[in-house]
Amino acid sequence: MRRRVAAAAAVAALLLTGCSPQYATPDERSSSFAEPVAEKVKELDSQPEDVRVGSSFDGITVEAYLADMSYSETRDFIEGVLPIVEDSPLGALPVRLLLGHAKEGPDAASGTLEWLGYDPERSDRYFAAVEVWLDTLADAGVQFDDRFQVQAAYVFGEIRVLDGRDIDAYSAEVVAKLEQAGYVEPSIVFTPVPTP
Amino acid sequence: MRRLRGVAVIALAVTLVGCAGQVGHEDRAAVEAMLEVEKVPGVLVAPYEHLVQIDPQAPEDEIVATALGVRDIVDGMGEDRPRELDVVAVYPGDPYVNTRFSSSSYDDPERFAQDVRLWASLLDEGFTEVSYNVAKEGVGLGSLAVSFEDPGDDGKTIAEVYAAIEQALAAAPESDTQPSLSAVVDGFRISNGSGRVELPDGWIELRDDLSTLEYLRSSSVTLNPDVTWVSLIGEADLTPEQAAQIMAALAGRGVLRPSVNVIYTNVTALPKDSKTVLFGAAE
Repeated sequence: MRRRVAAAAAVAALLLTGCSPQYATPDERSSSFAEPVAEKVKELDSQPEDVRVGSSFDGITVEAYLADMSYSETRDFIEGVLPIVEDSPLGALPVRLLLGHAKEGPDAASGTLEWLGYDPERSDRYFAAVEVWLDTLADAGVQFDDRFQVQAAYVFGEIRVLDGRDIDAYSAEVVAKLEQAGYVEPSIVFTPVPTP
Repeated sequence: MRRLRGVAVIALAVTLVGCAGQVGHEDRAAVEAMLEVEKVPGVLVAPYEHLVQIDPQAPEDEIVATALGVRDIVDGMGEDRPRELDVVAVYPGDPYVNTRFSSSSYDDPERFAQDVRLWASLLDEGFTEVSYNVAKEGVGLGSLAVSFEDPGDDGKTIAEVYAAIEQALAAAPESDTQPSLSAVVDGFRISNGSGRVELPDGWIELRDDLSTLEYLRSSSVTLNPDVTWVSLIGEADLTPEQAAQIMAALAGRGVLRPSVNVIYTNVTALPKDSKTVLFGAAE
């Protein structure tokens, strides 16, 4: 009986362990890192409506549809996600966060913030940019023309001004917020859109 | 018992056949090498067997030792040996991988060690964007580029960056071949395109003159033995006065000799309509 059990255990082990090596290709291994990150992100208190995690040879990408999350909820979410990504095997590569308020369609790009890499010592810059992004989305008189891109050294954005406000005063206000957080010469292009 | 033995044999056969069917020989070799490469001290992660990430804060000797350890494994892959070997480093805040050593001639360990040491020595000097692409003999000489682009950081001048590259190269053992060198600081790029010509000081100082022209966003100068390319990028269409100012700055630094092509690109226009040839016979 004991021999039967041992033989059965050996068969089970053989079937369970399967092939060695564990991954069929390097790509398969890279993409396998996404699932544990996604599981941990799901346990965060501040949780967007929809979160997707992907991974490839160049790092982890977290894509989140924020719906009506406030600035502080968004910040909590980002601050929860970053250490999870950093702890993953690909966490030493630059992280990519895509935060969106429009899920799909023509407005998807203009409602998306693309966060690339992270330097904790310059965290004020990233979060000031997130605040500017959310304020801009909440302002019916202005609109992003494309993705708003946030990095440690640079911030890039194109904002269309639809309501005929004083564009110089408005751009000075936005740029001042970003400069106060530490950005030097933020690259934000403001374009007036003539009202018909 | 006989039935159980039969099951075991079938299971073994299924597993082995499954493995063979699931994983191609090349893929299996790549995964095995990748896992081996990750055991080399100093490797943070190996997304592929030929692509490893190292800690850029490690000293030059450690980076060289790590790269050599990786090389030994990858070079030992025989017919599955990848064409290139890449070592990358990421600094805090890097939005992309900007620091990369890439070699397609890693079969010679001595040369590989020299090449990777040249790259690592520039990391040791404090440069955080160093790209060194070592090409195979006969295919090209490769290229070594150092960028320093962090607005607000007092940092280094283009002359200092270029001098550091030349110094690193001078410290390397004598070689018949040299890579192309280029330095980029705040949107201004200078390069000795052929890898065999020296950039006159005036060309490096040209940057100061061009940076006073507020309608220019960036500029690059590439020097080849026969012809020099100057590419300028600006916000709007140039007026005749602005074009004259640019040409005066180039002439003042001796850049209009012996043959030069100057192209101005208006970034707000569509690419095909945006090029203006200011001087020479640019394409």
